[in-house]
Amino acid sequence: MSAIEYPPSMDAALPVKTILVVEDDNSIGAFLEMAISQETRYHPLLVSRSEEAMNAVQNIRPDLFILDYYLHRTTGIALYDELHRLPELQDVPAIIFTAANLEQHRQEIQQRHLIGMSKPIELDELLTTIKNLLE
Amino acid sequence: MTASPAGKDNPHARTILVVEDDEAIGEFIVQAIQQETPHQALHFTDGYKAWNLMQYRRVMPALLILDYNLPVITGIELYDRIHAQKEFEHIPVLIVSAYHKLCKEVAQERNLPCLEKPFALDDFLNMVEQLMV
Repeated sequence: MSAIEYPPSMDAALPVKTILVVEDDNSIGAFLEMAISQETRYHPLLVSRSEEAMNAVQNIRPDLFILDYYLHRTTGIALYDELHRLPELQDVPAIIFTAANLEQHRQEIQQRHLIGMSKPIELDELLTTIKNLLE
Repeated sequence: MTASPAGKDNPHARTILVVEDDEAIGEFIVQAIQQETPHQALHFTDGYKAWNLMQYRRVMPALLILDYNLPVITGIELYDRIHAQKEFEHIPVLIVSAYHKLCKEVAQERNLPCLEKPFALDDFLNMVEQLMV
């Protein structure tokens, strides 16, 4: 028997995946980070501003984006477009949250094949969507 | 996912030093190591702090993960400094860098593993696992 015990996720040899969360409301960001850490086997990388998101993807290649619609001086849609322009991130799926009526943003969300979700966040729905996108 | 198996609760845990000047990225890497491997990890934002821990506190890490582009001294300068000391020369080192050319030079001139940024977490952890054997 090996002296070192590996945690279950490594035993199963499943790929380890990263979710980049961009949310400028600190309490919602912390909630998303905790929910992803505790309820999924994925690793959240939380930032609050679009510049931080662009810096983060120079370091770690994420497997999924979760973006708030209204960000400081920009929108989650504009950030998605910027991220999506990077060749290595072209196929990364994205979930976008909005506190406004989803219908208002339906066209720009659908055009980009994003998944739009409303605030307040339905945790079960979010976790199921994350699992469907990454498994 | 279960909580970290590493750290003081795991008698077989070994220590990995992560030197990365970006606070959020460094902490993210530490969390990933602690959740996905049996080892514990410490994060430093500059090379001198890591060097001081090893030199003056006699901490012997099992692996060093060094970003190339660090303030004060680069990851390579830190490696050279550590490698020059007999007691530390056996410690494996992983360089991470956003510069493809630099990674290639590091691999050729110093025979060091180098992972290009941005990296997928899975690739990073696989390299860590290989180097910890």
